[in-house]
Amino acid sequence: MIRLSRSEAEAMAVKAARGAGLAWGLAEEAGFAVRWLVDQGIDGLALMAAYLDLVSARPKPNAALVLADGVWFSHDPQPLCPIALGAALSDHFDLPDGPVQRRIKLTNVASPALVLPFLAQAGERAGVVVIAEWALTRVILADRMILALSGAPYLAAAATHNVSVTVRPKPPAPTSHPPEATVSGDPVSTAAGSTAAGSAGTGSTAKVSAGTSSTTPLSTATSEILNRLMLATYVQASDQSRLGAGVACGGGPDR
Amino acid sequence: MISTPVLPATIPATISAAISAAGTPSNRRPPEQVMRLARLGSAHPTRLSFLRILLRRMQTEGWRFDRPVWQMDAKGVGRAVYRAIGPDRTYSLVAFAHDLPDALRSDRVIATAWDATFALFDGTPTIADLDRLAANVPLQEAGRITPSELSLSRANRSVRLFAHVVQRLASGQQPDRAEIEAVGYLMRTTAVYGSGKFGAADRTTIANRPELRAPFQTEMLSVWLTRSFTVDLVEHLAATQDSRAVKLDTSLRRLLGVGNSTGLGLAPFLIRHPTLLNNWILVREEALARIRAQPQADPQAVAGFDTALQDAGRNAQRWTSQHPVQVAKLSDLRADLARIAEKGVPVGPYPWNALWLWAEAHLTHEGQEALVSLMLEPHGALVDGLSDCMDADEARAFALDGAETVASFRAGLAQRYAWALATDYGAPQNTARFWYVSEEKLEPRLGERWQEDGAALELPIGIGRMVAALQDALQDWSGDQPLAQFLLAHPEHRFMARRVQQSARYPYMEIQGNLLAADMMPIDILRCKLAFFGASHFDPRSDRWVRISLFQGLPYPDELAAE
Repeated sequence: MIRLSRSEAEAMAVKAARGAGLAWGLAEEAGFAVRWLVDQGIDGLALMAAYLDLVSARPKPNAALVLADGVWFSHDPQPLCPIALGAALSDHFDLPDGPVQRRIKLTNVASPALVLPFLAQAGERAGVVVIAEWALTRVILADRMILALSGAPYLAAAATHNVSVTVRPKPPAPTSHPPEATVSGDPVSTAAGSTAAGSAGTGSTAKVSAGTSSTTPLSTATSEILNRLMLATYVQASDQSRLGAGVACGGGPDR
Repeated sequence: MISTPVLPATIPATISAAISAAGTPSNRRPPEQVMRLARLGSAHPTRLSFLRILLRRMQTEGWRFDRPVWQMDAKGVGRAVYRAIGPDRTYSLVAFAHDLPDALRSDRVIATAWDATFALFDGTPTIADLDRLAANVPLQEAGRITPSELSLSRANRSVRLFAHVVQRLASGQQPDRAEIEAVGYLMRTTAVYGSGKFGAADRTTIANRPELRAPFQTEMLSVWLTRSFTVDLVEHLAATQDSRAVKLDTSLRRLLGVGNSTGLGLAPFLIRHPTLLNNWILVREEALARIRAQPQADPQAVAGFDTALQDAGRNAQRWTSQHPVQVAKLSDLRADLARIAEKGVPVGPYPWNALWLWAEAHLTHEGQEALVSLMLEPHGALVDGLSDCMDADEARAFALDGAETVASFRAGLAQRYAWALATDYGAPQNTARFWYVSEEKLEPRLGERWQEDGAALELPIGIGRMVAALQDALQDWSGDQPLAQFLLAHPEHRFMARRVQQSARYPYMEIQGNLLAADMMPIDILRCKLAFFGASHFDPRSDRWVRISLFQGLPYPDELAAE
């Protein structure tokens, strides 16, 4: 199986997100999200590919994200886009309606693990610990990393969940073991069953080491999805377009 | 006299630390002046160029160099390993030489075979590493490398000069100096990939090594060692052809650099890495400001300046191009260098500043930017430390601040993007071009919007137009609302909103010109980046591809210690 560098994974995620129809600014966020997940030893690229695959097949949502009384939702029946939601959470983090001020509920979120990078980034900037919970999963984020996780957070893209987000002040002394970390039952695994995340252990109070490997695997299935989506961002060549290329046609006679 | 200097409040932390450590007031040229395309397109290499930073470090730290592997047959096919051994780590250029039929030789990114292919290995490669690399490196983009490799590259011969040099050396003679000067290199790279591409190590995993902290050090090291390879190869071929063969004379050898053929692909890089571009420019401008702030001219600095000026004059004479734009610029450059020589360093207080102000009033952009380089050259003690500030932590600059009010954001936009807002983007000539990636070998191209298809897939390069559209969209929003609400309603403006916020802390991040205009020349963007690499002899072949030479006139590994 091919192993990608982190910047390759990020670049593919940006292009694929664009190919799936996201605006450039959100495609950049998708790249950021994948890079963060890979840094945590999680197969973020497979997660992102599975989600984008669904998105590209669906009609575009015609209702925007709505935030009211600490609840994020949409009038659209489709699940909330975790990238748009993550970006919005990050933007709103310190605001009256944001997670710092109150417990937040996210309804009907597709592939919630993809929201974690945004919570981690925003939590670090605000200097707080962030706790995200859905189904049987509980993730604790601090200092831009996953501090602890329990349950089986890496769910198939088709699974949507209601997610709750709460914030705690950072403990005064540096510690890797916040009191509310729980012991898990299920092993950590991705939708693609990658073993990369398995290195994180069974999620008890263990700190998930960041950047356990400097590369991330690319399965054939994920590659197929990403290539298809990226292809949608390329312009078909024509004689006219070849004239617009950089180096001279034919490359020489050189001197 | 210099007006009261003011440090802008918004400077990246690392640079402000460097500035306060040096204790000098700063009067940097503003972005509105230096970020114009015409000026970027007149950029000259300086002692803060990346290849100069590399050589300076290796010399200061006493790096050693060897060639533990040289396995070439009589046709010049085989492999070689060149090592650069530093105080803490070793880097090895692994080179594969091939037998390329002339008909297949192409500089384009769609080529599939080359005269030579390379990888820079992190450490000393084992036989197993070499075999693995032999199976992948010659395939370039079609192969895979690993995080043990830091860069991947390839090069083609300059056929005429290569053949001439081999033929002369084989017969016991030296090649013709004029022939060498006309071309300037035996081989030219057509791509040098680093930073995680095709499986290479990510920049983040190597950026905290002091020797790799400055930008593009692995790529520069790879090209410098490639230079040695090109000389070794011609000497080898000459020796296998004829027992009378001699080695290349060292003074002729100096005239050779490594060529490079660069097209549009480099241009979007500067737009996609704005905080990095900012830091390069800011460092150069800070360096210039420090010199202008010198109350007197050190006599050694004046002597150094004069030497650099003479070198520049000679270089300008040797520098040739057929492109009409470059021909005109070379004429400007030669004339301006003569004027600088005639003017000399003034007497009186703040002499460098006096010289600078005279130049701004009397010289073309070429002359002014050449003077930047000349003024920096003899002031190493004052400016070399700034090289530590040229890299960028792009992740730190990424997050948007949704709590900023619309009013504050709007004001910042209007102030920092004034250069873009006066343009009428409704006029066809102002959006005549679009940037895109072609499906054909994933090559970046520049299209004509009104004549060809594909604009729907354009890349976000037209910053001026995008910021004008953003300003428009903000019109009806009340000032006390947080930006987060605007971003929620307008995801299509998120990309540009991020840049507007970044520009408050990174004032030099934007190319202040319309990159979609009918008369925009991509070579202006290319020249800026290539000058920071340290490229000399910028030779445009069209408005969108160039040939340059790296390391021309500079020492070889066996000469570094003696310099």
